Amino acid sequence: MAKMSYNRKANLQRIALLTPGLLLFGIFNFLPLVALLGLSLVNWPGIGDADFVGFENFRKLAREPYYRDQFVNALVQNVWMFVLIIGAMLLLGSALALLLSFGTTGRGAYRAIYFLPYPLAGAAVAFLLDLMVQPRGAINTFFVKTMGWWDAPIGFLGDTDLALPTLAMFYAWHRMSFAIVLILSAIVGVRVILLEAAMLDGASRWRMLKAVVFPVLAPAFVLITVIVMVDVFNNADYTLLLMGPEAGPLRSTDVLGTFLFRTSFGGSATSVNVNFGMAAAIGLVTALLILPAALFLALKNLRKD
Amino acid sequence: MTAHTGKLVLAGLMASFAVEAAAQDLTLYSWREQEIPLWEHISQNNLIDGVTINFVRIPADNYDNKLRIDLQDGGPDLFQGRAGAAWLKSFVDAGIVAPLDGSIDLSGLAAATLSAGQGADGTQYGVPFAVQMESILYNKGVFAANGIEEPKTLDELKAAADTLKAAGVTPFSFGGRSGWWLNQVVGEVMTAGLMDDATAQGLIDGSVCFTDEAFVETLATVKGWMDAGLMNAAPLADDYGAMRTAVALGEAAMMIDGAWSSGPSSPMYEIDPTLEIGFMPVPGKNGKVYAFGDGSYLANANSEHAEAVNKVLAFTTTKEFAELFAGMVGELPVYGGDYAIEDPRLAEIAGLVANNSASATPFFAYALNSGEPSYGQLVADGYQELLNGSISPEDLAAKIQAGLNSWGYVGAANCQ
Repeated sequence: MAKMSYNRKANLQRIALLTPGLLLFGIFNFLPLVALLGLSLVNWPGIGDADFVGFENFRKLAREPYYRDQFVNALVQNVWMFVLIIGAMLLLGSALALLLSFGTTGRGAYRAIYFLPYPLAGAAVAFLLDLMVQPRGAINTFFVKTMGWWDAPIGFLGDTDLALPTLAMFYAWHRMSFAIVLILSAIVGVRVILLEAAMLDGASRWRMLKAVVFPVLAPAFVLITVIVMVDVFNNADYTLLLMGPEAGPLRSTDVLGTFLFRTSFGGSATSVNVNFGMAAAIGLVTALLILPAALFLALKNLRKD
Repeated sequence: MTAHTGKLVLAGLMASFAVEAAAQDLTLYSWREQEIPLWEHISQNNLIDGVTINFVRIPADNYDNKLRIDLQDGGPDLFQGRAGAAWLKSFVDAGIVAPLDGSIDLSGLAAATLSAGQGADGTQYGVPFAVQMESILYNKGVFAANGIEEPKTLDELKAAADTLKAAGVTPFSFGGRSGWWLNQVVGEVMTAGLMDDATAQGLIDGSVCFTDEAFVETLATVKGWMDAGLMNAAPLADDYGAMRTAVALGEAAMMIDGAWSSGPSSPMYEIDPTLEIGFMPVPGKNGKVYAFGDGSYLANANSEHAEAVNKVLAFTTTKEFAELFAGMVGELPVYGGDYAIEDPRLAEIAGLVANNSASATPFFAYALNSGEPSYGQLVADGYQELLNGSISPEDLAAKIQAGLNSWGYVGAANCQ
């Protein structure tokens, strides 16, 4: 047998390395996505026979006011929630990571404190949130009774303007350490010679941050944005746990995840038209909506590297 | 081995086989934590001959999705269903739930409760399990401390609330964050208190419209309490649990709730073990409490143990079960004949249900809930809007009517 060329060998190695990942991804991600497409074409309450309805679910989602209005409302609020979360995570995350990078005394302890919430289960954080913001919770008790600054408790989760930002802030708090760790490792990766050169040129600290540090941080920002985006648009754990599938008050905390849940499992005892098919359609449309943004950001990131 | 010992071993094997065959273990799904001791007792004492029940409790929030997912792959032999044809429909359509076996005799049950297990055409699919009463529940200690007698008119109620407010007690505790409570409890109790039975029945058959003055008044009364500051400061921020906590703590005096909150396993007694809860209707023109068959025990038509399953269902129709149910669950059974009630609290509830309860149940009416948006949905959303201060009672009534008209409900032609 002729000796294998280097290129051929390299190709085989690549195939051997990629195959397991591709198989796993295919089985657990791609196939369900294809199955979802099939599911989106039927009307099925989760038990019994499914009715094939073609693209009826998609038509309803686009045309029927009952579904369309809920979808648009959930989408807009989902975007708003994402903006709030990513804004808080990038701004505060960078600030805290910078502070940690400055060789502050006791930074090991700070790091531990920042990282504490991350391993907590979503349900535990949701429960904690509820204890904090209830009318007789910690925050209201402190400001109304202890300090006397507020006349009446603020109903954070009962206010149509405050409920969603409250949930978003707790999400950001929960995942903040993930942002800090990524940003901090990027900061640590800044080449010291570049900083020294900038220092010799007489650059101010702010100038050094702007011209040398931030460009290096961009890939970390992009990574955080993509991961948070995919999570915020696909999951709704806090909202479901605290506000229920009806996403009250007045649907003001409704996001695509809660809309999807409500459509497949029903919101209340009188929800008769539960339909897994419609839920699949919502899931697919959501995936299609965030896919371009996620791909764009991820590819941009690759090129930078 | 001698022939003798061989026979002994054989006999032993056969005996153990007989025991195995006799003890049929059935699975029963439920969201009702309060029934756990009851079914344990039934299994341990072999009250249903040769049948033991593996009672699986699933939290109410997850019940429907867990049940549906498990039923795709066999599922439990028996499960509890929520009341009414609207909930039953998809299970009937899927062939999961079949009409009750003729061997199960329901003639001993209270006739008014049977609809809890009936489909839209009146076919009986399940055995109803409890009669629930919903009304105003009040903290007796708080009433006594402020020298308040049970109000008999809306004006007396308002005066009592003013007294309580002046004493620094929140008169009405509202848990508006829980949508299910708004439609299933508040909507129904207000209707039973303010709207005469015939008019309420008219809402269900479409001869009376939701824009009718009598229905608007139910909404306006709640709005009036809120506008007069007789409710907790942020009624939409508190959920059902927070609402009960406030009453149990004595920070609030009254709430609109089901009598199940006064049962022996109610979490309210964990806050105050000496708590005493009183019941009264909303003292309006109709002045009645609201009573309904809570739901039903259903058989999975695909269970491999149909005979044992029917034995269980038959047992739930008996007087023996009714007495166990009253004693161990602390709720009213659906049994129609005489049975012993030892708990005075339960006896009081039984009296109110028997003598002064409204019979119309719009929340469970199939005609109002078979399309989307359903009546239940519209009322839950609507009360939240009302408590948010963003809609007037008249506009809300019109909105509920328009929502029902949008899918051509039974009264659509009459109520344009």
